[in-house]
Amino acid sequence: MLFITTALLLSSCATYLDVKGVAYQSIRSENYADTKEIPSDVSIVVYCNIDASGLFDVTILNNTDKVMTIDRTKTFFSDGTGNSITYYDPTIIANSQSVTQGNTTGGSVNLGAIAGAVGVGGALGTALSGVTVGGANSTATTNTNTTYVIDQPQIHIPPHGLSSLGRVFQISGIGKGFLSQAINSTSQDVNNSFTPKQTYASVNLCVSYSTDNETFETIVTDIYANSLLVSKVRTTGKVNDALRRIYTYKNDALSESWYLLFFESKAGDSNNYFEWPQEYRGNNFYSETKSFINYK
Amino acid sequence: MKKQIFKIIALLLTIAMLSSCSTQTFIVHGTPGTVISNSNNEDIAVIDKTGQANITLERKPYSHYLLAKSPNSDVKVPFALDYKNHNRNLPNSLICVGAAAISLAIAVTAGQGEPMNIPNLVIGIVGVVGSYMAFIKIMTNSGRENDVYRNYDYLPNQTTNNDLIINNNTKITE
Repeated sequence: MLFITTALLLSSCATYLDVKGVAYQSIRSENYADTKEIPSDVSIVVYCNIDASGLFDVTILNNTDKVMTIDRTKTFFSDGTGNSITYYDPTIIANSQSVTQGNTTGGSVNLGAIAGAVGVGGALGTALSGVTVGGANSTATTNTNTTYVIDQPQIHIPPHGLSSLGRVFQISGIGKGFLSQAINSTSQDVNNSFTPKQTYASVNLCVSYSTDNETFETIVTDIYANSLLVSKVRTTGKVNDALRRIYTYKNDALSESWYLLFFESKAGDSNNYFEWPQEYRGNNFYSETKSFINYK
Repeated sequence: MKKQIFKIIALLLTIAMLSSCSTQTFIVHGTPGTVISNSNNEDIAVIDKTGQANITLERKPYSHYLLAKSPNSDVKVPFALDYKNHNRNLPNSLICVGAAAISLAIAVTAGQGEPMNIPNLVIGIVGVVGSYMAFIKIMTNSGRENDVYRNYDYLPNQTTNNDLIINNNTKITE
């Protein structure tokens, strides 16, 4: 009886798949140029890449025969929330790693003490400094290595070379996480197009560069979200009806240079949802993420 | 005795097969010549001249969409897969309980009217242990995630969306 009762109890709370809706967003740039259209006599080409999570990174092509200098202290990222962030981060990052070695018998040796006794200082002395814990029959020594990461205010790019600007930013209002929230925060379909001034998400990138390391010029790239569509699944399981409503409203949806189509799926019973692991949930987005290219 | 052992083995194999159906076949309707791809961009079928393609998909992971490329277009158009939820938890549990009960009954009746000997004891032990193993196997697969995976089916008929899409300012003609 216990056997049967346990089986029935375990099977009584069935959980189901629930695809709640489909969302779509697209991004445009007023400065966008196709790779084929870039004239050969330009000095600088800026490639802006945005992935399906809304992460923004920039690659610079030096199209001159001279060494190009990018001044990261005067190169800015702004995502339309009013905050501008320079690519140069003066914060010194300290990465520490501790290694503890234990010994259950015999004596212990504090390497830091030895380093001090023999007059070893600097990095080696720091590396050897440690804490010795002694007991009647056991000891442990912890050594800490600290690496300091210091950002560079300038990047130098060789003639006809490529370089990343070295930082990645999250764009507010772009990506899978944003579309997931958009689906969950509305009970109605949303069909909106946006101009650069009206948009809910944008990026302004200003790059300061020079080919003589004295006179600096700037190149500005503006990117904005030009559409947001949310289509709720109205009858459980009828997901394609929701997707077809998106295509009906925006039948050039797949012609945009950058777009993201996202399916919000969860699992749960009548009371609670839980995150369905990726191995079960599979691929829940489809995207086209061409680089936005600007040049000067 | 041997028949009883075969019955137990057959029963366990049936349980194992019932709990391991991992693929499903359905029909996609569309224009003849349309190539169907999965979400990894791998071509998996072509719609035939009757306007249908048989698609066999793994049920785990769940596929939110497939892609359809018309013969006269270079655009792959996503179409979502419709599904229906079921509750398959209870029947599986009953199979386990039934298997255990039958095995116990076989084990008990095998010994009745016969002296307790080694073959009877072995049959009993095999029956009980085998049934419990089947029960544990299914119940350990009965996490919430696996319940969801087991409780949905793709609908038997799905449709492409290429009729709605404009490619480079030209409507994709089918």
